[in-house]
Amino acid sequence: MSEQLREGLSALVDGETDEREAARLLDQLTRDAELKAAWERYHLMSDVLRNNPPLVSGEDLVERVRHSIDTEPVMFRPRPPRAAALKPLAGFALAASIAVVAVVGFRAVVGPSGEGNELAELAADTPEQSQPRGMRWDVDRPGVEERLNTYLVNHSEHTARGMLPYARVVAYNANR
Amino acid sequence: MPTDKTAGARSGGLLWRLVSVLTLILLSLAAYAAESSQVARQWLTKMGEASRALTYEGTFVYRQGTQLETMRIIHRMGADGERERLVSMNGVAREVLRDKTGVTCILPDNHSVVVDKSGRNGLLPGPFNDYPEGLDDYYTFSFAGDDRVADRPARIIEIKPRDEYRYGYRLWLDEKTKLLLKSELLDDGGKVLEQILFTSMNLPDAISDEMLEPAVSGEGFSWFTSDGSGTPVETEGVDWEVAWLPEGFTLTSQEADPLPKRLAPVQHMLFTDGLASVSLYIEGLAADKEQFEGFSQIGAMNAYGVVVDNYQVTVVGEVPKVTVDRVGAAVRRR
Repeated sequence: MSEQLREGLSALVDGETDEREAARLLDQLTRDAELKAAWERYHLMSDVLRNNPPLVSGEDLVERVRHSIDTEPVMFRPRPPRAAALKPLAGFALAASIAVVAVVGFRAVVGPSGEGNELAELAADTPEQSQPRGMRWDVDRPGVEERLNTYLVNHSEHTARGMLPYARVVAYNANR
Repeated sequence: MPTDKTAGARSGGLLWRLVSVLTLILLSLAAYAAESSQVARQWLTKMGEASRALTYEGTFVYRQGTQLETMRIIHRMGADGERERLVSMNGVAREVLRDKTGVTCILPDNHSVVVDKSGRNGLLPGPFNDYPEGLDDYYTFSFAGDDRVADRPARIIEIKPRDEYRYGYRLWLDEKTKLLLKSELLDDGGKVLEQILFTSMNLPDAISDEMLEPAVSGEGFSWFTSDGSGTPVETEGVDWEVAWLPEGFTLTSQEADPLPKRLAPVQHMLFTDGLASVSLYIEGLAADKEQFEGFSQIGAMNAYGVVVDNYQVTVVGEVPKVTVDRVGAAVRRR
């Protein structure tokens, strides 16, 4: 696998490619077995690095992955849980994560008013550039966003058939 | 002039033969297209059945713009019915679990667990399983070639809308099992709005209970449970109407949903053409609530808000902007 591909894949996982490049790499992922294997390794490694319980059980697998972290070229190692200095906007990470907690649909949908609302107000005060990337309604008003989130989840409950529509729920405003 | 006459007759005969041959070709092309469309739809039905009846696990990428999320799906059909687990492989392990009792969303980043026991959505028929016959009037269905996805031979099915009020779809189905391996949601310019792509798909003989259990216990999280019981609304009692809908869209449910944080139940009407759907929400506008007028969007989902007689009217759906716009503008109080 070429260096360039590795680099591309790494950027893809970190959400640092443009849309066309993302589409191209994904397309390649379906055709290139080696690239695909690297992709899967990457996610296993991410899980281990972040101390998430790996999805595939078995101690030896975790060991194997730990080993591959050691042997994988540095370029392709997943970044450890991101340190605040990595990105220009990372200084706003804390504010952004508060916005995430406050505005993500579920608390808004099911929670009683209170803490969530205060956080929402706080989120409303955060500068625009601190808004996290990710799936969000493109409105800057927490009250409206909360309303739309309520509707989004309710609409999905009525129309989602099968599991895949829930991909949108899992992806909603992923921590980035 | 016998020669001319013969020549005329001969050319007339030739012309006639040419026309009839062309007609035959056209007829058989049309028949072929119709048959192909029918077979494509049969594949979609089989896809719905396969996604419920089979036991499988796979990893897929969900892409929207440059936003990328890798997830794993584990599905088992067993003695205890259908059980499913969807888990994010990026960052915190958000999970959605489904079984016959309902849906549970575990959101570690929110320290919350959401349980919906409505069962309404429990394990409904798979997508494309119960679409109405008339769907052919609004979409064309066709095969668009072969491909390989997740190391499996796949056939591509294309669903194109016949007007600008719906999105199109391109679906890659596994040749053997008919499971969905890749899907694209397309706008009318053919731009991919959302994509799902399996990087692996396996059909093991058995899936253990352990694999269907959440990785996070949810201990110490806030738990929210809703039975999701909507109250059906008598049609006579409704004083709202929609003067325009895209052709083929019909009202499929009408409820007063007791949505949280709302003083009064929100009126909800759901319209669908069998593939795409649009929801209309109407609620009294409390003085302290922010009004929503105009557009907003998230991924392929569009919303349009308008205030009518001090009511907040909102149209939401996985349909193009123009559709929510026109539906929203056509909402009237009787």
